[in-house]
Amino acid sequence: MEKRPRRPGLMERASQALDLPADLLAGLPRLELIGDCQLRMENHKGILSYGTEEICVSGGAFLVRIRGEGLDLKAMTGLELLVCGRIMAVTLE
Amino acid sequence: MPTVMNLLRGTVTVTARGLFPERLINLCAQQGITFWGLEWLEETAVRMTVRLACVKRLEPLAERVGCQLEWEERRGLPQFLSRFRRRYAFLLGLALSVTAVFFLSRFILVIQVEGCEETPPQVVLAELRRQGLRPGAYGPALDRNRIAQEALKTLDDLSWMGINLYGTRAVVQVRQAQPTPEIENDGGFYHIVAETDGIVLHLQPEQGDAAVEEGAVVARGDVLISGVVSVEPPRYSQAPVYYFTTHARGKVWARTWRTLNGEIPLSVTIKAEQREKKIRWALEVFGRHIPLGGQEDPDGHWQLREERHTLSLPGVGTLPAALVCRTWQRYGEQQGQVDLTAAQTLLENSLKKELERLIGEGGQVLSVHTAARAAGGLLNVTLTAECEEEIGQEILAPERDRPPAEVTLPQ
Repeated sequence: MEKRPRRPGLMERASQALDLPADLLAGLPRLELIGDCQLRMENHKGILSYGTEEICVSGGAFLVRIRGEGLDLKAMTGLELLVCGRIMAVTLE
Repeated sequence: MPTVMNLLRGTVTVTARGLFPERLINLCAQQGITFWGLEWLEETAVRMTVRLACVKRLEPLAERVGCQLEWEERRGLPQFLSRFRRRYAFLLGLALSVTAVFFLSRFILVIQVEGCEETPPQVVLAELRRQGLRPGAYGPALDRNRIAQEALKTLDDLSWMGINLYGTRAVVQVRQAQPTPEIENDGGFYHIVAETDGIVLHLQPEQGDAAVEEGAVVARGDVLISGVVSVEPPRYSQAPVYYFTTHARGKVWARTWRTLNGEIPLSVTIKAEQREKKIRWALEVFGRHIPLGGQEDPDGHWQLREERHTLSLPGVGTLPAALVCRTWQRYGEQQGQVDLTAAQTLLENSLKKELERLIGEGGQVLSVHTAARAAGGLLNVTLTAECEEEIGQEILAPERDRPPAEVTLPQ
């Protein structure tokens, strides 16, 4: 069975219509990848699973799956987290 | 830097076991509990490091998500200090040392005097010591204003004194008093006489009558400017000449010939150092001399050489404690001959300095001639100099010079 496409929320659509940053208005996650060694994520909703090869982080409407080798959660607060290691893939589900 | 801060604040490694350890991680992030070193041990166990201060907040969170906490390793300064919780002697010593530092730092160790321009600082220190401000005194008990006022009463050269305490250091700031201007005494009956023999070159009477003329040969003690002033009556008048006395003032320059003599013995006693020597160590604390060794100072022909190693602290200065090494070197006495050339040069320089002192700042030496003669075990040096100098000297005039008919001039 094919997965149903994600439907954008009201705030997300509003931010698109008004050309405003969605991470601030709609609280969407913001990912910042530095090379393949550091991933910084803002507006996360918590870690769902953790391992050295895969870390799953909840982004609210998304699930952010980080794959790589020797992954390590360097720092984490209620709003942002920092993952280090050799990042090979970041997928949004 | 973070590592150092973590060591100072203390860290603890904890393992959380439960069905969903990631929930605990999320809760920690939300509650602001800082963690690092996250290590997934197995599906239901995670190990992380948190600050020691966060331990109490972590326990209820673990209880909420159904995790069990296992404390593994505590590190840092709080953990190190907690080892001494039951070492009462150590704690007592620590408390005593802190108290001693707090209490002893209130005693004065160093006194610094600032602002002395003419008065030697030693004079100020001696007076302050007399008033109770000395190394070893208890600072808060000193009445600094009273000490400063009492010291100023004795030290006439100072106009102001302030004493400040900086821990173990007392800084005494002083200001020199302005010298009182000399009040010239215009009253009285005075003459200006010749200080030495000479030929008068120039006269400059300011008050009184000139008694000699330029070119006159004067001897020591001759009156140059007289304190007796004559008032001539008008021409063709029958009135007598009136006299009145005054305080003679003025300057008289003259050409003089000065002869100075000096002598020095040709043989002197020389100290010849011998091998024997004795070393005495002593400790000086707050001016007290404490010998280390207990032996008395030797009698006889011993020469003393003292080395002082004063204790000092950066930022504080010299402390009133010193290690003193006294070396007594035995010596014998023997007669030695003086080098004639060196002795003559020494005497000549000494006589020239004496000559400069005699002719004063305004005088000048025109020519100098020296002659040396060795006789009777002495080297005799004679210095003859031709000079130009001011020779006027103010003296109280004798009563016999007072004129019989004296008038008083209106002031």
